[in-house]
Formats: sequence, structure tokens, C-alpha cells
Amino acid sequence: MKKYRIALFFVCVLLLAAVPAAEAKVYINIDSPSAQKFPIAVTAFKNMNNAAGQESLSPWFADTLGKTLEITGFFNILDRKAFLVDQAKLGIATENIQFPAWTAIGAESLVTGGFSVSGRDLTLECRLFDVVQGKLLVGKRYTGKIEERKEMVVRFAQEILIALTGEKGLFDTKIAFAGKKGGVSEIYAVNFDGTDPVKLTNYGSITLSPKWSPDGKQLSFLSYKDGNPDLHVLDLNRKTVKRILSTGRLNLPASWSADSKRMLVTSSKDGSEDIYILNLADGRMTRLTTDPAIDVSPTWSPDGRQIAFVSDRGGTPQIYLMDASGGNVRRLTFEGGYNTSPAWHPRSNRIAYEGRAGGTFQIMVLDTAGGTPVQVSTNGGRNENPAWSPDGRYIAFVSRAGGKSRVCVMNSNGTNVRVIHEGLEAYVSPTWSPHLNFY
Amino acid sequence: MMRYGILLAVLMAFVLAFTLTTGCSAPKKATKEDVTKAGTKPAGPSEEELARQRAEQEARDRALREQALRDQEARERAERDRAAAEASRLKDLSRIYFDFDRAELSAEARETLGKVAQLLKASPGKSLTIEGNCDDRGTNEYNLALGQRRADSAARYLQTLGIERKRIKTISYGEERPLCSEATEACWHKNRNATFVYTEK
Repeated sequence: MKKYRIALFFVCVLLLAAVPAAEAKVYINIDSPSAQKFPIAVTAFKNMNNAAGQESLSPWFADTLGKTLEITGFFNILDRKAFLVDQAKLGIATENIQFPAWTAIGAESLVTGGFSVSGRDLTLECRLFDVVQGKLLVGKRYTGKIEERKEMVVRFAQEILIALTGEKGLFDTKIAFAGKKGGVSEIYAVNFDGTDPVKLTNYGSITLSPKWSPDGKQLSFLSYKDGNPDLHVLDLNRKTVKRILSTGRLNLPASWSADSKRMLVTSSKDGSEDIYILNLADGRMTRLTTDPAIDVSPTWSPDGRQIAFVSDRGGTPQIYLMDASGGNVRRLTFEGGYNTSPAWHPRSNRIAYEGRAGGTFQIMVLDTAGGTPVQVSTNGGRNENPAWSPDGRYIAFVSRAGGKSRVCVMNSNGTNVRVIHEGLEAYVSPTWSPHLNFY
Repeated sequence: MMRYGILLAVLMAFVLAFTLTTGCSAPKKATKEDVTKAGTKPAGPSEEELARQRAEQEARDRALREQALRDQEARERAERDRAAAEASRLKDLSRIYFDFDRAELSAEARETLGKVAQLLKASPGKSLTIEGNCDDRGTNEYNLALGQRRADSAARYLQTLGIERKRIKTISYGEERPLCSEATEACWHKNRNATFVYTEK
């Protein structure tokens, strides 16, 4: 986990809120499948006190902010060479902005900024303009140490996302996954933008299926570290591990309840592989499925009223739905002979899963009302184990192509595929954290 | 008349038995006397005679040692052969294979399991761990369940053949312990198995 830097003190000044919240306009409708990338210009930052030796910071801020915005997949960062005016020279306040010069190159938004350096102290001012309407959308001032400039940039990127999409981005989230090497698998985690990779377990055993708790404090996983496939929970703050289920037979962790107090698990303790609710306080288990077939990979709907899971009761593995009590079981997928790994969209009745399509596996999305599945992954090779981001705008998944395995993130419409971890022999089971508020 | 006949026969048998016993004991006495005479013989053997006797004794000892060594080697060879035969038998009885996404036992698998049952019946001290494995196609979590199912399906069949359930442990490794990693049907087939690990109690 990335540590808070106590020394970093941000003064966030809302310079001018030109648009009252009640009238807030959503500039980018991310959930529209046909959404075009939003054209935004980011100018070089103005060296406000002409600090000597800090000239390189001017393009550094523009480049870093541009790259940070680009990672979200929502923006078209306009090339600075195409700019018609030097806004840093003209001034970065509203009265200095040459709005027509920005609309002329196709920009809909403009980011300007300035910095002043004194010793190791840095003051950063950032402004976001709607150049079509000619007004300031958000302005912030940050003060801190010069080493903390990247965090300041990410913080302003979060502000831009709130202003333009109605919601902050995912820069304070992490993705955990199991990585395999030399017959051993361990749990790793990495930031949304692929930075700060950490190894969370080191058992030299088979350790799989991490699931992040909704409170962000715990990670459940399966490990053979004590000989049998048992369930464990890692307390991420205290760095302690507790074994929560050991039956001498197979136990798999799955979905956490919204209050992080219960967990859906698969266990073969009573014979066949069935789905249970495990009460974490007292270890009590409530059996939900009794079919002699394999029932595995359960996931709660966001309201907790339904469960999607995989069963081979019909002869091949398919996605099924049932009520939270275990009743009213109905089959959801009918296309293709192998549909597994369901992940319920955090805000809608859509389920992402991995389905066999054309001899390989791809990430599909299907409404729980049924209908035709939409294949969202389109890059070559085999794509599997989908996990939604907490805002439902992205899917983390594992891509296997050309003999290499990688953990990737794509926008929910399948665009903007980014590799967030590679280099191990194989990866499985990415899981997305909630907002951890480290930016 | 008849009674006299029996009496006479018994008497004759008695006489004959006495005569035979005496006749047998006579040569034994003579032998003992000979030994006594030889032990008290005053004159010792010559130096050559002693050297010859020593050499003969050494040759006999050497022959005995060599024989013992040959016997030992033979025993070890037999033990090695037996262990090899056992290992090869266990190797034949180390794995059964499955079809893609299936846990049903093939005729071949049932035949192997029949031999496994015989082996377990013949060696009551042995216990068995059945490890369920899958090829890497399909989903890792589903494959963990499928591996458990494969191991259970072998365990259940052994139970029907009269093996006590408590002698069998099952564990699934899903697709986590492949024997090979090529994307070929031959390799996938190899990885879809239940592996038998025997342990002495």
C-alpha cells in the first residue's frame, strides 16, 4: 500500500465555481458505447516566479497531466505543436484565455497551470476551462514539496474527471491478481495506472483467487500454504493473515457482501462443489445450492438480492442466476459451450463473463434479462477473468497472446486496452479494490 | 491256538528289537575310542603338514566369505528387482486420464483403478492420496472444482471396490500442476488426470 505522506499538505482553493452543482453538465457520457474521446488541450505550465533551473518543469507538468488523463481512455490529448497561442506567456487566468484560438483547433476543454518554486517548496495552480462556453470550470492551488508534484497532478486529474464526467477517477484504486512463476503463485497488487507493484504474499505455494473486500481493508484468497486448499483473509493495514475456512477439501473464496461481513464461497465439504454463505464472525455456513453438479464462482448483485454463478448442471459450464436465498435458479447463458467467471456490474444488471467464441475465450457482457451477449474484448489471443472497476467504467482482465500472459485494463466498451502487469509466466483472477483514497 | 500265535509273535519281535539295539550301539563305542586315541596321539604333525592345513583352512574360509558375499549380492539384487517391479507396478498405477471438461471414468481408468484396489487390499499398510488435475484451457476456478470432481470420482470407484474411504484422501490442484505446457492435444490429455500418491502408514 502506498503510504500517506504526512508532510504533504495540500491547500485546495476553489478559485471560482462558475457552474453551480445543480446545473452541473456531464461533458463526457462515459457509459455511452459510442462515446467519442473528448478533445482537451493541456498547455505548458507557467513558471510564475521564474525559478532558475526549473524550466523543465513547465513541459513536465503538461506531459504528466496529459498522460494521466490519457490513461482514463476518455480524452484525446491535443498535440501542443498544433497550438495557435502561447497561453503560458499570455497568462493563465480567465481574462487572458484566447478561447477562439482553442476552439479553432478542436479543443472543447483547456487546462492551464502555473507553478512557483522556492527552495524545495512548490506551489501549483491548475485551471480547467470550457472553451466553447468561455468559462472556468475548476481551479485549484496545491502547495507541498517539489517531490510531491506527481501526486498534485493526479489530484487535479481527479478534479478534471469530476468536472467533466461527474465522478472522480480511479487513481486511488488498486488491482490485485495472482501471478505464477516456477510452479508457485503469489498475490500481487498494482495501481490503476500500473505503477507501484507490490507482492502481497510470499508462501512459495499455490495461492490464488484474491477478492478485495468492499471496505478496502481486506483481501481474501485461496492458498495451499498449509497443504490443503484453504481460505485466508489478509488484513492489509495490519499485514496479518487469518485462515477462515479449512475443511480438508476444496474451498474457494468469491464475492464479499457489501458490509464486508459475509462471503460467498464454493466448498466441497459436503460432497459436491456447492455455494455457501460464510459468516465471517462465527464461521457459520449456509448452503445455497444442492445440485450434484459443479456450482462455483458466485457473485452477488449490487443490491445483494441475486447471485450469478457457474454450474455444469446442464452438461457444460454456464452462467446461472438465483435469488440470494438459493431459490429460483435460472440459466442465463445459452450461446457457446463454456461460459464462466461472471462479474456483476456494480451499478446495473449487466454481467461480464468469459465465454468461448471462435475457438478462443473472450470477455462478453450480457444483460441479466437475457438477450444477445456483446463481445467486448477484441484484441487477439485469449481474454479471461473479467473484474469491473468500482464505477463500472472499466474491466480488468487477463490476456494470453503469443505465449505471454498479461494483466490488462480496458474501458467497458473494449477500447483503450492497457497492460498493467507483465513478466511473470501466467496471471489469473484480477480483482479491483474500492476507492482507497490515497490521492 | 490263535492266542499262542500272537504271544509268540510279540516275543519274537521283542527279541529282534533287543538284538538290533545292541548291534547299533557297538560301532558308536568303537568310534569314541578312536577319537580318544587320536586326541592323545603323542607325535605332532610336521611343519609342512601344519602349513598345508592352514592354507586349506584359509581357502575354506575364503570360499565361505565369497559365498556369503555372493549370497548377500543375490539378496540385494532380488530386493532391487522386487523394488523395481513394485515401482513399475506403482508407476502403471500412478495416473488415470479424463476427457475435456469431464470427470467420468473411462474403461481404461476403471481397469487401472481395479489394479489400484488390488494393490491396496494386498498392502493394508498403504494409504492413497488422489490428486485431481486439469489442462489449462477453461477457467482456473472452475478447473479447481473439476479437479476435485475427478479425484472424487476415482475415490468413489475405489470405495465400490471395497477400499475404505478413510484410506483415501482427495485434493484438487486444478490447472496449477501441469506435467507439460505445450498447447497440443497430447499435452492437454496428459494434464487431465487423477494422480495416485501412495504412502506407507
